[in-house]
Amino acid sequence: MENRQRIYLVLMVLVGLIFWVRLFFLQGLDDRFKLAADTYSIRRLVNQPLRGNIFDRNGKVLATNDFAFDLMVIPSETQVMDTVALATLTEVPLEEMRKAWAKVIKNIEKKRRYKRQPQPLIRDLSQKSIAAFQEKMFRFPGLYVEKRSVRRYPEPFAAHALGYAREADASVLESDSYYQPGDYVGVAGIERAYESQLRGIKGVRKVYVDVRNNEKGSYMDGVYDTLPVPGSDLTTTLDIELQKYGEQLMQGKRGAIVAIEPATGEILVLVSSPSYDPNWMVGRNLRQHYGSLILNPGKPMLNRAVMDGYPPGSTFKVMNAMLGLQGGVINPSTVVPCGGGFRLSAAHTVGCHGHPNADLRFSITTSCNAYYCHVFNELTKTGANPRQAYSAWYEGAKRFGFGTKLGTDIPEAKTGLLPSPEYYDRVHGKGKWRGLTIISLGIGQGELKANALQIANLAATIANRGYFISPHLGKALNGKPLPDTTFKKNYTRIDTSHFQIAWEGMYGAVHKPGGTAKVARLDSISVYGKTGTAQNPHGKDHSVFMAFAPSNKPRIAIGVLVENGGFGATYAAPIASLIMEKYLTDTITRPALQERMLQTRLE
Amino acid sequence: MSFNDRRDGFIGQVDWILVGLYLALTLIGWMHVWSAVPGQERLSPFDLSSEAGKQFAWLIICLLVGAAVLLTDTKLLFAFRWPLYGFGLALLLVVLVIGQEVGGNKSWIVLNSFIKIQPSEFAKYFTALALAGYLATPLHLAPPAGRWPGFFWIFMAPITLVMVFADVLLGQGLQMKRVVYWLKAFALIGIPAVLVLAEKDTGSTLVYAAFVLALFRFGLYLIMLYLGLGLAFLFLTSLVVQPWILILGLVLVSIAVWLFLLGRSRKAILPLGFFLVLLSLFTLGGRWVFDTVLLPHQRTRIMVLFDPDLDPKGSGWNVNNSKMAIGSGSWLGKGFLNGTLTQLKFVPKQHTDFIFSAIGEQWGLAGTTVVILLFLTLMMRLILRAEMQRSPFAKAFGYIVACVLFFHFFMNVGTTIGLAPAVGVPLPFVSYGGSSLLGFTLLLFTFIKLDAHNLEVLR
Ligand SMILES: [Zn+2]
Repeated sequence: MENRQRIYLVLMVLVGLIFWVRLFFLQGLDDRFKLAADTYSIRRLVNQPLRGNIFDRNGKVLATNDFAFDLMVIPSETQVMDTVALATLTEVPLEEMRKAWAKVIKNIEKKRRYKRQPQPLIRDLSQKSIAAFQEKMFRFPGLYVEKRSVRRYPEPFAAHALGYAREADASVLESDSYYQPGDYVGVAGIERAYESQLRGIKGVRKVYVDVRNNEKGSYMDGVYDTLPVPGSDLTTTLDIELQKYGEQLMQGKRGAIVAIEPATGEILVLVSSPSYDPNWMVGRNLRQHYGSLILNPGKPMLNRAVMDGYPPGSTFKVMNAMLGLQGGVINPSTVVPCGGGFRLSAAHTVGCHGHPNADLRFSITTSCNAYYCHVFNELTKTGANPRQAYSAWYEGAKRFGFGTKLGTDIPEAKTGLLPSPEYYDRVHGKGKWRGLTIISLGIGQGELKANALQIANLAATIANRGYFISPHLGKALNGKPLPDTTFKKNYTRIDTSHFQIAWEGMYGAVHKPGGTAKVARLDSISVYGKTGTAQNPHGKDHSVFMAFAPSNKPRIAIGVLVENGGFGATYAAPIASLIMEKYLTDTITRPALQERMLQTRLE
Repeated sequence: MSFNDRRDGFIGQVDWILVGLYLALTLIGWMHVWSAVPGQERLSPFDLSSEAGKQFAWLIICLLVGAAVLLTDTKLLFAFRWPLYGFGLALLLVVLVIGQEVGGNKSWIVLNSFIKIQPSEFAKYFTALALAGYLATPLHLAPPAGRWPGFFWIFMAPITLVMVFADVLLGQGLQMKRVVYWLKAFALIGIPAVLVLAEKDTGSTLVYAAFVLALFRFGLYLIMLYLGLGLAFLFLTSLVVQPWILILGLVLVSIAVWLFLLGRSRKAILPLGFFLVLLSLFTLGGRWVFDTVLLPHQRTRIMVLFDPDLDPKGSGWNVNNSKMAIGSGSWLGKGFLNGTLTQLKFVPKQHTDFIFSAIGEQWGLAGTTVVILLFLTLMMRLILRAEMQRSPFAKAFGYIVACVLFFHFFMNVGTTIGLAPAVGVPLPFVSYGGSSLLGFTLLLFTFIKLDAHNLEVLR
């Protein structure tokens, strides 16, 4: 039995010896591992998530993704490279290839990117070039191909509402660490407003690579790897069919159309004309079209629907009527004698067209200038001094959304201009101005600037009898409606009952004798409208129109602005009317009018 | 039992060589757990939020436990060996119910984010106590075989058959008492092993084979050792060599054995034939078991022994990278904290199952030689001390501890250099992990304590 102890000792020594011999070969004699070991490196690969799709309110796809292939470079891992061979292989002009390399080197010299950081060398390579490159990839250490999704817009409309995404520039990279060079970021419109929801979450994979650029498996067994999470799908409030119709009607004209669902603040249509195909802003198309977009005198890149805008003209009078009623300076039966205008002084009169003397309702219907100069003038007398009275009016007008961005989700939205008391202090001197100095505000002219969104919003406010929901384009994310609190309900603090007279006046403007907007009349539906003309010192006046319909729970409020269109009734009102008819009845009963609008070229 | 009640020292005569080896290995382990982190992520080795810090805390705990064991009356451990064994089994059952899966094994009880316990590590200790206690009563003093229920025999049938034929083959005549004695020992080892297997912890299950290894010292049929080694050899070769060639080889070997070793005994023909058929069936069945019973990941773990490039991103990946890290260490290594691949976290699980590769990369052949020598010294010292024990309990326990350490050493280092399948066992005292460190500490210090009182034991 005793000798069995030896079995154990022999077994142990034997195993120890075998292990040691193995180690002697592995560590001492075998050179294979020494070479390989120090040439490995870790590469962090980013899996870009798919950007969320964008739909219109009826589920039509407005934006989705296609694929593109980029040639990426990690400068620290490149060696002396045959640029000519690379250019030939990828079918990229040699000149472009050289420029691309120069850019890569410049990026490093300017410390914009680290040497170890991947950056794009050539973007949007063809499938064929990619295949050719990948076969010879081992000859180009530090280069690899990245598949990237690019935006596609199936409907060539609503460019301004949708906006666009483009490669993140230096300022974006500095302000938000989420973005890496080469990432895409929404920089306009919905793409920008809902960037954080649309972009999703990047996936990250860390892998070992050897000198020949081959992946050698996951770092740490992949415990740090994450899968990309695709961006949320966004449903917008747009009605793309109506949008398309609006853009067609605006062909050859400069201007804007905004249509809102009053009860919800949802923007049905947002036209800015001239427009462009949103696909022009993507990839290689951009290089092709960018020049013409920038050089076009019509400034197609400008979103006219939300720009600072023009004087709102007579549409503004309805708001002044409401402020007048609330301020107690008039009542529905107040009659202001017109007689051709409002006499400012012996020399100056704000003119008016010929019409019977008007009470409040008829003053809206016939758009009497004298009436609203009177209302505004009276309002500026209600305070301790004109400045204080004006301040009250200013706050009231702001509550109608003028001089504000309305709380909208359109990133390009401007405030327009509603002159503040301080503004007039600067222009005229403190205490040196009064109602008559700035009387043109009463009729929506003067320094005032408003855009189509604000005018459509005014129509929606009247339709709602005293409040508006911040007009917006976002409706639902991944099918889930945005929370009710996303867009504020804004109150004008005007008694609901006062709006009855505004409704009646606007109804009269479309349907009654003496009305200014009879062209907007629909046979089957009550339309409530108000024309306007924005004075244009540089040329023909701009045509303005706002309206809402039908009478029972208005479903659409619209603001139309046609530059150099003359009177509101000339172009703005017919266009608004056609759009409302299409939206409410889905038919066009006035093909001749439609044809005239489609054919008109004002550019 | 034969402990002397009269004790001159409370602690006794501690074998400081064993304690020194223990300290050397645990400190090497702690150092290299600390090194196996990318440089910029490395905190102080005492920072409890890092693995090195946790290992340090466990090391302190283990030193306290070791000291406590040295102060304990070992009679207690002997007296309570059965309740402790039962407690070990209960723990294993509990883990089956409430255990949580960590790295594919459902063998953990998670108390909180800091403390995870792996009961199989402690069950090993309790099984060692019970088995040593059982072996303390040698075969000739054991009670007669008695009657055993039928299911016991059915359950143990293969082992019984082997033993019966071994008795006959060795010409010793069939001794039922001996057969039953060893069957009970196998049952003692087998029950916790089956429970651990149910936790899908392959590595820990195989470790119970180490207990069987210890039995040979106490008279278990040596033919079973040769048979076991032979089977392992056959199994591995059957994967790369045609089975009929192997069987032909077996027949030739059997004839040679009969001719030259067994003196052409007629009585030996039947048992020899039995073993020949058994091995042939195994050769044929081995391939079948390999192809159908084993799961794909288990298959690749074995196949990568022959072809490391077989699964370069899966289980071959770990072993390949481990070999690369060790190989890149060359003669003297890249220096402590300069292991480039270790810094890259190139070898997965490097602080646990692949800690040896961190040593190999940073210290080269010099370092790996030192570690191998430390282990050989420790294991052989244990065998030598165990052999000198007057108490049969202490002797058996010493052999068990040596065998458990040997098995872990073999499987762990063997895996990192591609000589053993990657089943995932820790390197004793060195690998990161509190449960395993505590388990091995208990095993070693219990033997040191038993050994310390060796001279007090009356014959
Ligand atoms: Zn008038």
